[in-house]
Amino acid sequence: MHDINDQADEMIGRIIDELKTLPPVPADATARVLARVDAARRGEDRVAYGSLNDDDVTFFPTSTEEMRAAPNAGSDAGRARPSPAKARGTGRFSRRFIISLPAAIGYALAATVAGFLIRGAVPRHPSERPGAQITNAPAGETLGARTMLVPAAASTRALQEAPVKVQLVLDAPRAKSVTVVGDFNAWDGSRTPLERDSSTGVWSVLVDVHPGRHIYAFLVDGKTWTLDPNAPRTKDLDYGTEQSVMMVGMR
Amino acid sequence: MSTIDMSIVQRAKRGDRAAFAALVDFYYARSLRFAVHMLGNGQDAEEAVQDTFVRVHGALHRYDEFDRFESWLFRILANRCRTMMGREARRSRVLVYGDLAQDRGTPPDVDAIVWREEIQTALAALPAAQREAFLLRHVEGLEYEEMGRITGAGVSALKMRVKRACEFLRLRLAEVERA
Repeated sequence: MHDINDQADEMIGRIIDELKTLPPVPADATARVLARVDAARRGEDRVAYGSLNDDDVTFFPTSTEEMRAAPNAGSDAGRARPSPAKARGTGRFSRRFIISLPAAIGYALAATVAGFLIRGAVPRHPSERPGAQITNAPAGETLGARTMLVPAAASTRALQEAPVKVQLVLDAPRAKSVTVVGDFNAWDGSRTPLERDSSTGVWSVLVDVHPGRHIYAFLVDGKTWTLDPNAPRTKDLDYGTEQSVMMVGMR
Repeated sequence: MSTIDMSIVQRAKRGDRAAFAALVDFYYARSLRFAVHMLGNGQDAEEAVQDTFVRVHGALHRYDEFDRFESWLFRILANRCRTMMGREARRSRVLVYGDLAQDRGTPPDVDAIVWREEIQTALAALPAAQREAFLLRHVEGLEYEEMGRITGAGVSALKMRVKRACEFLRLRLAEVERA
């Protein structure tokens, strides 16, 4: 009886051997990629450079038969599934989850609701009054990241659309460098470094962010993708990574 | 299955253009092979692969090095192919496989050419989800867990897809051999 995993027999082996033959690669293939990268960086390519969602993720649906194949087969994709824990050198790290599109939509809605909570669209936290500082982290917390909005008390439309100062904070005492990358700085890992408080090991930076929903992450030591442990998360539909979400209220 | 030296990926991630070019060189043929088999059209496959590498460059700083690079690359590539399949479903598949066989400069062995074309025809006749799973597993040599991250399907469902694909291909090609 064949293992369901691998129906490898002589016939299948011959088919695989044929399919493994590599196709010819045009001589200018790499040069064309590089030219398109340059064009994309200038905003002149159909692929929006660094864009997150210019493709919809279109997974093939799991069929009824596939669901019946194993008791939980159909729900595998829909169930949040943490990857094996991975030791990393610095800071605090989140688990990674694989989620299906419907689940992602659910999480996005949850993140939106969380954003409204941060913004104050639903019952406002007493501290979210003009002039008050807001943080989504518990007071006195010493680990993790805090996002603090520093609102102003103006009401004109121009001021409402003006950038808001947002303080991003990450506690990573062993890190040698921390930068933030997000849709507000074109995901440029060199543009927005955080400064370390030598007495606490806490890294922070003030960034100008327009009101609305933004996604971001910290880059620790130039290579380790690190989520804000206290912010809602969303999955990058195109690349499968997770990012933190912040909802920035208008002034 | 050879994998790229991670120092090249790290250099590319830091903005080293030559390293990124080396990365493209290393993975282009494999990416094109997958895209051709998925899309059944050489021109669309080229477009999918080119788009994929532009996206890869734009997202490299977000690549988590605890993920296998090729798994991450194929996640982007497979999604690009799925998107294009929706757009390009109307096109003929078999013709282009034949074109590629000619381009490859294979010896004029009629039996070999017929066999190759029959494989391509059978592959094109597979449901797309089964074709994707079969190619990722048996041609690209990925593990089911990695395939799950690429396809969004559970491991059991992927095993079923591979099994069904094997059954279909075996049946179709056994008929060809008997003929």
